[in-house]
Amino acid sequence: MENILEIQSLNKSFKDFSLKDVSFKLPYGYIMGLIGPNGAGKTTIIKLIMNLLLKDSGDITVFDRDHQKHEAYVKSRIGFVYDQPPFPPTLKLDKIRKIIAPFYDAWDEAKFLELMERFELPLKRKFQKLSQGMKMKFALVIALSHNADLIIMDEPTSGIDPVFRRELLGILLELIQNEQKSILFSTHITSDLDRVADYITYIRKGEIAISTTKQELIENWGIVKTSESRLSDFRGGIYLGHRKNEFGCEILTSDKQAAGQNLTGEETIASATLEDIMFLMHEGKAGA
Amino acid sequence: MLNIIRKDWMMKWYVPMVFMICFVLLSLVVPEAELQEVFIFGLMWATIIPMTIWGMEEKFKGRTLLCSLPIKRDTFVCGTFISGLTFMLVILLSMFLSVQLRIYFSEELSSSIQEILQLKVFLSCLWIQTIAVFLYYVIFTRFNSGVATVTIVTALFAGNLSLKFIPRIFSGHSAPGADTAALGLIDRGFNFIFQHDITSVGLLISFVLIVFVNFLAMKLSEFLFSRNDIVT
Repeated sequence: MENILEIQSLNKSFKDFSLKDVSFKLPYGYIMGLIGPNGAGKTTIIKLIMNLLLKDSGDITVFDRDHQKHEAYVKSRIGFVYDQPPFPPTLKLDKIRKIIAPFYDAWDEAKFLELMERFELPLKRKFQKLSQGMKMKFALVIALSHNADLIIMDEPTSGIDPVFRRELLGILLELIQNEQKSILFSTHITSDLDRVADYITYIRKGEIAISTTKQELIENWGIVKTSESRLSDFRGGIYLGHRKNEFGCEILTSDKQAAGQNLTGEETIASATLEDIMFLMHEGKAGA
Repeated sequence: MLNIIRKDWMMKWYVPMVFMICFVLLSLVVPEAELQEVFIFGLMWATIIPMTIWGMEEKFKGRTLLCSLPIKRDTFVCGTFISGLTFMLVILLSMFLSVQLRIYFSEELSSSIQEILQLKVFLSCLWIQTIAVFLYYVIFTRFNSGVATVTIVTALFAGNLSLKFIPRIFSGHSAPGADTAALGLIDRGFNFIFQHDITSVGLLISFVLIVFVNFLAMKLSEFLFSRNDIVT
């Protein structure tokens, strides 16, 4: 039992979009960031894990169990945070808690109240009166109050202020101190992942482009800075994308060491950030 | 499942409450001669209440919320369905009780009021609601409240038309002749279901059939919902 979440050859088709042969694994005790451009399929994957969408084919195993056959069990151990939390807008937070708490056997009232106080959320305020950041905080409080082992979050940092964003990331790190808990979250903000993620899964046009450890990306992936005339020498294999600028050309490579051996005097190589990787692998930039 | 019913009552208690207050007040103030009309009008609205409850659920993304909580899909369908029925039953009972109240305070008990308090009338109401709910809920779980509402309105319209063009269905007399045998069968069926001009065994069978049709609606909805994407 190494992985808290395993996805194998997952497929889902819509009229105008398809998720193709998606596979990745998230081990216990780690944070995985799901990144990709808008419409790449991040939210679709999350909805498929939660069985809100039905898969066409493939396997999703959570806590070593099939997510559909053991739906109630699996969901009882997942804390789910939506990008737009679907809580009844006209109800006060206290009442929402009264509605949701009975669904969870492991609901921890003391923890709920502690988190509400920590996030400065008023129990007597209606959900619709909260700011976007407060809504997200409340969704997080609900997700954390039943001692979930897997936290799944869809764009949790969008719409919240930098102070709480930093605090949220701190909470996520606190959570995984318990090695039986893991976190999967999708985001556009790659700097969040730089801070907390252990694994990165990059999805592009419904397909997994990268799924590896952040360490692997930092150690082996790099950007070669060279002239445009040398572009043709860096095509295929370990070279995954490029961009041209006024100083020449930047080429993304998945093997810094091997690329380093091909460099001439004026060319340099540097580590690639997640943003570089996302940008250079984006549609139209790939295939250098 | 009880949690779903509890949730619905916590969230939407005011929907039947408003209806009940209006009905009770109306039934206390209208002249006795018009009480039957008020009662029939109330019955029609009582049918709409569970549909309103389900429609509200969809509007506020209740489906998404519930289906991300630790329940199975069939529990969701079953819970939501029974929850809607509890709203309707509470309203029906409150209607009967308020009419009883009116009778209690009336000096003279009119025969028309006695008539509407019979068990067979209660069963007739349940039949109308059972059929409406069957149509609505099955389509609602497969598609959405909009499609279900359109279907119900169309069915009502078609039913009205058929009543105009085939008045014999509700006339209580079998259609004579071999060519109208099928019509006669439908005729007797409707008499059996709606008019209950039969024995208490017939009423019992009618009640069992109501339970069966509701169960069928629930199971059919479960089947359709298990093949549905909950969100888009």
